[in-house]
Amino acid sequence: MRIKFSEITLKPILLISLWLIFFLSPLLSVFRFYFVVNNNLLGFHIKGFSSLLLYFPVFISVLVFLSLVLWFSEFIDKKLFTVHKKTLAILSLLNIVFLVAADSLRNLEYRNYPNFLYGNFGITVSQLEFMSFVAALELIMFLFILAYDLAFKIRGATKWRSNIVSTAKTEKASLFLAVAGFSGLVILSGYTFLNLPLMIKQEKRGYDAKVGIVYKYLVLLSDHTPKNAKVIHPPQGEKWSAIGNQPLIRYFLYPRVLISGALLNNLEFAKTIADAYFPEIDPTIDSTHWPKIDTINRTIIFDEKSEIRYKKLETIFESEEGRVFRVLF
Amino acid sequence: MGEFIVSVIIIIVMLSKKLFFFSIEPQYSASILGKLELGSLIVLFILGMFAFIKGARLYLRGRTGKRTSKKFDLLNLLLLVSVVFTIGMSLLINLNKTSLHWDAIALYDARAKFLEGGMKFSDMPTLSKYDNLNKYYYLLYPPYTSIGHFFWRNIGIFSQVPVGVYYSVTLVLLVAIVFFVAKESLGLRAALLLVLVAASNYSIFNISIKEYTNLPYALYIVAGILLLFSYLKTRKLWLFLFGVFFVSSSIWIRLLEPMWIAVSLAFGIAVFSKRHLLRWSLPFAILLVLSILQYVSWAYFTKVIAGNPGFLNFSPMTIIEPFVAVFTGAPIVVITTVARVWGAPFFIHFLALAALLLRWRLVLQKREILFLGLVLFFSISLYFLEFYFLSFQVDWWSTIAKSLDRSSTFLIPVSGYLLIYLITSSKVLVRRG
Repeated sequence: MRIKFSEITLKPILLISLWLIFFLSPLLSVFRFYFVVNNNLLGFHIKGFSSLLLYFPVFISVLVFLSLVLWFSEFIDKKLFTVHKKTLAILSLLNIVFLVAADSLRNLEYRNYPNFLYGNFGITVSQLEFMSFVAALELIMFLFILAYDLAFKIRGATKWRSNIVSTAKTEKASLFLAVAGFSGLVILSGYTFLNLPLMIKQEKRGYDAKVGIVYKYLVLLSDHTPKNAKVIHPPQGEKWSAIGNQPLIRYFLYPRVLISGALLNNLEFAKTIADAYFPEIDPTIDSTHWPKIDTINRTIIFDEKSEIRYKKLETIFESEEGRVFRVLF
Repeated sequence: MGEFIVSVIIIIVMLSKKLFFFSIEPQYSASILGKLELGSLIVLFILGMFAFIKGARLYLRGRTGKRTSKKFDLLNLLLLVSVVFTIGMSLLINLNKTSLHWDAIALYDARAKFLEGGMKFSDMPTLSKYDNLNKYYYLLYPPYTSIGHFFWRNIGIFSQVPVGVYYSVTLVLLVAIVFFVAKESLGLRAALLLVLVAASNYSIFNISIKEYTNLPYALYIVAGILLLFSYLKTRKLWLFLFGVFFVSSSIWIRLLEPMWIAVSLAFGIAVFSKRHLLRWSLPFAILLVLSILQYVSWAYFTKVIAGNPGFLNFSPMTIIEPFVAVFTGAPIVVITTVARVWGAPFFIHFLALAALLLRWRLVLQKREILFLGLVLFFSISLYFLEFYFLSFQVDWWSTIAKSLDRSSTFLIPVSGYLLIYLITSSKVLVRRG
């Protein structure tokens, strides 16, 4: 039974067929996106068909990965002949083409916007990355077989002394795992080189890209408040993850004293602050607009809950970028 | 010789930063713990220098005067060019940067800025007086990286160069120490291959273009592990002394992951000998005690001198809860989450360990390989344990688990070494001809 299974898995035609399905599997994602998700095919709905098409490419990738593992263990057992190596050579050439194509598609996503590939073709970046990993693994495995064929030969079972045949088996398994692990390291290195253009581009970005759109408020505060000023900022949390993060904004505002709006929940505390500056955040977006100013009742809400009465409020600076206020309690 | 020169450079960098820290923190430098901390490192350095000079004299006396030329073929040249290209790309990116990364803005470079403003570390918690969430933040990480940024900005020739270049220089030192140690035991080609897969590894390259503590930490802990590895192989005293210096002083770079425990445990087991109990226990005790000293002295500085609040809650309940939760399946959630966010590097470390386990006879024969294998095993176990306990303390544990890829980079050269060693020493493949 085991021999039969081994014979079947070693058939070059099986590996080539699997590999062709593997290469063409992104087309299933495209089909799913255009004819199943966006447009109900021929007017009838099959329950689970969309999920099947979503997971089938992953299933195929896992299948070719397993077939590769089996072929490599056969190589260790000296059962790979010229025809098998030629098959791997053909697949390696196809893999190079695939890796270049996958990289171009990934770059297309980064050049446009997140989810661009899925939005237009129904293919995800993680799907491409997993397929690239499997393709790169085949390529490295072939190169390994080629290099070792030239430099080494595999010791046959008869060359081992009979009392250590079991040791030979574990040594073979150990070698297989070590080669698989090292291939993983090579793939991670390859990933670095493939991503170099993107990394160069990303690292050239300024603070407006790294901190986000709220960086403009930090520039306003830095330019229009004195260095010994006290500055109130929004509470830290999901709404104001950057502008509410005191250690982060201190880098741009030091040596000013920073006060989290979350602490301004009563007038007694506000009076100890006495005189402070703050920017108006997102005046046109209701959910992240901060702080809530009521000029009629002369109150401000800094912590999203408590109304604090102020003595005087003046606009220190105003432009298209935003406003900076000075408040006296 | 190469590893000695690189080690001395790295040690001088650490000692100069420690001396600067002592000069601005008089209360700490006057304390017994402070004196012990710096004194022990200086003693390790001086003794290591003496041990090296003594060993070098014996070596020169024993030499016949003939030098063997080493083969440097096209493949080796290609590997070398690839390593230089990788480091060059890191340098190019760092030279052209216009902004720093988030954590550097919030902490590492920010503290350098405060130092420039005349502030000392023990004053920094006062900055968070009006912050409801980050009171512990400025002393959560030891000062090594920030002092490095401060030096970089204030040393004439470097001040005009972006601080990111400091990290490319750190990458060069990491590559150099890995290369010199690996060349001795694996040979020139395998050593070049190892430094290529290490330097160009996505996780390592990524931290060479980020102004974080990760790469300096990787440099010190990898240097420590590899020198202790060489000590187990050659029993040269200077390797042990410098190795202890690196492992213990790595705590002064990153404190949150106690990987020195993993290295100390691995070393203790690897040097264990029933017959020579003193010869076993003394090196282990030196490594453990000096590492604990570094840990305790920083904790003393942050708590007693600077009055920094902690961010973890240690009540009887928070200690009992994780033990009880073992029976409710909580570890499975942590294991699957950590393995998933760690990703490919975890898979590689796992394969290296499994491959090593299958050749356990060889591992037991070679103490230095056993040491590397145990470092890998204990480090992975510690990461899982750390996240398991953290999962009962803070609900953002799975978010910080995402930084595991960065903080565990020191394991890449260790796994890389083991994998190459297992392939090249395999008896399954025999050379043709």
